[in-house]
Order: sequence, then structure tokens, then C-alpha cells
Amino acid sequence: MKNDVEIIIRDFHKTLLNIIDDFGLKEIIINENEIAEFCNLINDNNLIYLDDGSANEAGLEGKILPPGYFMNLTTKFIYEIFIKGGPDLFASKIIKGLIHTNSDVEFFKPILMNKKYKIKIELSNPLKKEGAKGTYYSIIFQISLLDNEFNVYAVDNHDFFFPI
Amino acid sequence: MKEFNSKINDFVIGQVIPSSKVKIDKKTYKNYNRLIGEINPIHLSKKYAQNLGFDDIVVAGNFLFSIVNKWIVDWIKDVKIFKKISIKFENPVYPDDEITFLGKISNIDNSENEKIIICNFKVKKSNTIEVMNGTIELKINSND
Repeated sequence: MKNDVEIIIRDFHKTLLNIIDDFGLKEIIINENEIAEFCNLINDNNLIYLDDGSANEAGLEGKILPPGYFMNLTTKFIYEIFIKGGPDLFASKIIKGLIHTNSDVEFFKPILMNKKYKIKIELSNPLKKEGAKGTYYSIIFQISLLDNEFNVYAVDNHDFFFPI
Repeated sequence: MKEFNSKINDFVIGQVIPSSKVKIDKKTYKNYNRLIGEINPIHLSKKYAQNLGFDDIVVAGNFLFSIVNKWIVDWIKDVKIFKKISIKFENPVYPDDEITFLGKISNIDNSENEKIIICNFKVKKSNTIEVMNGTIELKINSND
């Protein structure tokens, strides 16, 4: 049973790596309407996210992405990877689901609205851990936001655990 | 900016970040899931979440991350100095939970060219259950 689990985890990891490899660098543009709706939902009235003039007054080139929204961008791509994996990705019944346990996010430059960026995804090796409720594995998706010159704007190290 | 610089220069280790309380409104969370195209059933299906041992659908870490960031940016009033955040999700948050944000400055590192301020934070529900914790790094360059 133990070896079966490790084989399944290894295959799961390999599948994800193959999908990420096919994924390559994805281009994105931040949608200002989506951001405006998001700000409205969480009652964030900060005009630097909504108005270029206000952003300029704050020393910014234009309106920017709320830092709190960055993880929503990165998660969309993680989900794309899972969807590409199809129903077989979680078909083993050994891996019951993925739970986002922590993130380390670093911001290097303000993320301007309506500008083209690229998303780069890398994956850690699965790490076996023992917790109060038994064995689980941790895996980290590192998602970087880059511009066309490959300058890094932000990075999210998005850690999932999956209980066995 | 000068006004802010004088405020940040007054920051001291141990200084408390003004706390904040937020209720995770069910309708708001549903609209958030629609906006971001949530597909993880743990955030959408009560039955699925219960099968994994949770009481109800689990509010996504991303949503909570958004609110933590807002709390910090509202305090510092200058998003440009917000450099890093590490966040760990300890216990689930469910729709209709009310959560409280607490934090303080734990370290200040002054060098010739920059000042780095580290804050620790935690978020609780029902005043006792810690649902999240983490650290935040703010960085101010002397040229700002």
C-alpha cells in the first residue's frame, strides 16, 4: 500500500510537470473591469486601483492591481493546469483533494492595469509530511508575473497539501 | 509622501496595527467565486467540503488573502512599500464567520539606504480560533 501511494504521488507530480511544460509562458492582461468589481465586493475604495489620475498623484504610472488580487490571478492558472489534467488527475482516490495551506508572496514592482504580462509556473517536488490527522503531501506552485522583458513583478509560492 | 515618511519614521517595534473585523458575507463570497471563476468544489459544495471533514464550504485562502492585504494597505496608505507577505491558513473560515485582524510591528531594520519593517499578524474567529497568521515586510528606500 505504501509503495502504491508513493507511485501514485510520483505519477501525479510527473503529470503536473508535463502539463506545466506544455503550458509554457502564458500572456495575460489585467482586466480593469474585473478589478473594479473586486474592489466593490471587498469595499476597497482606494482610487489607485480605479483611477489613473489618483494613481499618478500617488507616484504611480497608472492604476495598479490591488496586491490582494494577485493570488486570484495565479490561482486561475493553477486551475487551468488541473483542468488540463482532466478527471484522471484525481481518479486514484488516494489523492482526495488539494487544500491551499500557505503562500509566500513577494511584490517587486506595482502591477499596472491594461499592460501585457507573462505568467511562468514552476513546481516543487512533493514533500511527505506527518500531521495530527495522518500523512499528507505538500507541493508548491511557484508562479511569477513577468513583463515582456522578463522583469519580475511579483511571485506567489502557492503551497497545497493533499491528504492521503 | 513627506507626510507618510514622517509617519513611517515614527513606527516603533511593538506598535500595534489597528485591528479590523470583517464578516464573510455569504452573498459576497458567492459573487467573488463567480468573479474569479472558482472551480475547486471545496469552496463551492457543502457536501464535498463535509466529505473532506469540514463543516461547510471553506472560504478560499485567496479571498482571505485579499482582505488581509486591504487591511495592511489601508494602514500604511502607500502600496509601494508593501513588499512581501507570508500567510498560513491554520483553520477553516466558513461563510458568515466574523474574523478579526490583529498585528504588530515585530522588527525594524534601519540601514543607510532603506528601512525594513516586519509585522506579524494573526486572524481569529470567535475571538479564540486562529484561522490565519503570517508576516508582512514593508520596505522604504531613503530616496522615497
